[in-house]
Amino acid sequence: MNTTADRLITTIDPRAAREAAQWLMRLHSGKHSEADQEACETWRTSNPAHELAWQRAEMVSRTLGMVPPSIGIPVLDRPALLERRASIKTLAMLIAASPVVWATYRAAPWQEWTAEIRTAKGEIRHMTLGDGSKIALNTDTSIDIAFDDTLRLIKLHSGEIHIETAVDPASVPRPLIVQSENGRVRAIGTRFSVRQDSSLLESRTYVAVTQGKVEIRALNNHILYLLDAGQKSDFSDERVAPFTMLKAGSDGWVNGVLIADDMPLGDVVAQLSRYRSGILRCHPAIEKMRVTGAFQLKDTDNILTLLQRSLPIRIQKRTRFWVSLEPA
Amino acid sequence: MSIAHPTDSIADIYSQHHGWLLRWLRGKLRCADQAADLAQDTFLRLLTTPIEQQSGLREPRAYLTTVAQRLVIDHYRRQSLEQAWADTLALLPEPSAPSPEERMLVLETLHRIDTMLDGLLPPVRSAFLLSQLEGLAYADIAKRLKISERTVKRYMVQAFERCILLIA
Repeated sequence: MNTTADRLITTIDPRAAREAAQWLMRLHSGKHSEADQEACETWRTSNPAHELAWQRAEMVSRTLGMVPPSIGIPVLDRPALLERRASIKTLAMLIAASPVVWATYRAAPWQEWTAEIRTAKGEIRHMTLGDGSKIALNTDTSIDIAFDDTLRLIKLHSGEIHIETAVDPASVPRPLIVQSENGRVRAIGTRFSVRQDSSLLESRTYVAVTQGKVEIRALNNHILYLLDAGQKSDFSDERVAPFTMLKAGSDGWVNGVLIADDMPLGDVVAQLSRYRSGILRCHPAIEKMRVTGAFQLKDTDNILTLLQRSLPIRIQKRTRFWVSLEPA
Repeated sequence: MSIAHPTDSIADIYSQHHGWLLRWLRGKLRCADQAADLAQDTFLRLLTTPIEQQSGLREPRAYLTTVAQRLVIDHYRRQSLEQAWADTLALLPEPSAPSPEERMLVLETLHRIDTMLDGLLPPVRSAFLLSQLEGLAYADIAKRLKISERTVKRYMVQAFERCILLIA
């Protein structure tokens, strides 16, 4: 790893560095669109020099993310830079806000890598982490990676990830944990997926294990639940639901495929809508129709056409962003 | 200034110029221990410089002062960073005080960032930190620093570019 980094230093293309900086500026504006994100991805993959520059750009973000703001600003923007009075004010605020500072400190341990990794709607992204574990991000997903000396922590903010754990190369192997809004999932030599589902009304985390075991611990529940290969479950902050059998092909999305095995049309539509912008509705009268097949998720319009061809249904396109499935 | 022969070994240069460099550094630092450390570091740099870049050794003292000067600046920057860090930590309530290992790590990270940002103009640096550490929007940074949003964006690109080139 280090040797690669060393080589990067010598081969960094100044133009690629400038362009990567421009992308970072745009993506950090808080106003970027999915189209920007895609354009950045295109730029990045169009040229190996871009990829190298981008890796360093991500390293910059990660490094900055390791610094707690309450400490970083007064230390890095010290004297002469901020007005003296302004920095005194910051420090005064720090004193006044002590309990809060403490709380944020506990919640956000040092060494954190807060660089956000996210996918757009319809995008599925594969990555290999520093320890060799493989992670796939399903559509519309947002995670942080926070590895330190004691823990390999993946924070799942929204969406779904699939993980294939690797043996930790650290001298003392660190546990690999996925943290969702509702609790933590610890991998025990495993392939598994975790999905964070949050609506206004409730927030749940779904876990499915295809190999090995995982341990679930809900936020406000001290009991540890051990989920085996072939099982799935879900949990809220308080409760872990009874385990059920995992259907074959449930992790098909990792390979870009939706596998439906006698799946109700309503569920298929719910799955597809995760990969599309806008509204996708299914008329209640046809929700229970059964669907079997393997569909390429990268083209959901095509899936809808296929469904229309094989079922007595009709696709009503009100606009490009409002599609509904009706009885034929 | 004495002129060394290019084939002079590092050991020769060391024995001929170490005392002189030490005196020079003491004048700059006013602390004998730190001067000795930096003199040592200066010669260490010399040892790790590839042969083809050692042309400066024809004028060892000029070369040594250039390297030492840079180390002195680094030293002061690091010292002021550590001071600001200690001041900030002192204000954190006792139970939240990080462990010594955590401190080292954050301090190292701060130092790395500080080194990368060195050389940026103060407003560029401030804009960058407000965005990256405080998460302020460009428009808010513009207001706070009394510059246009376009300028903020230009600053952001400058700072990111520098970091991308320098991060190690």
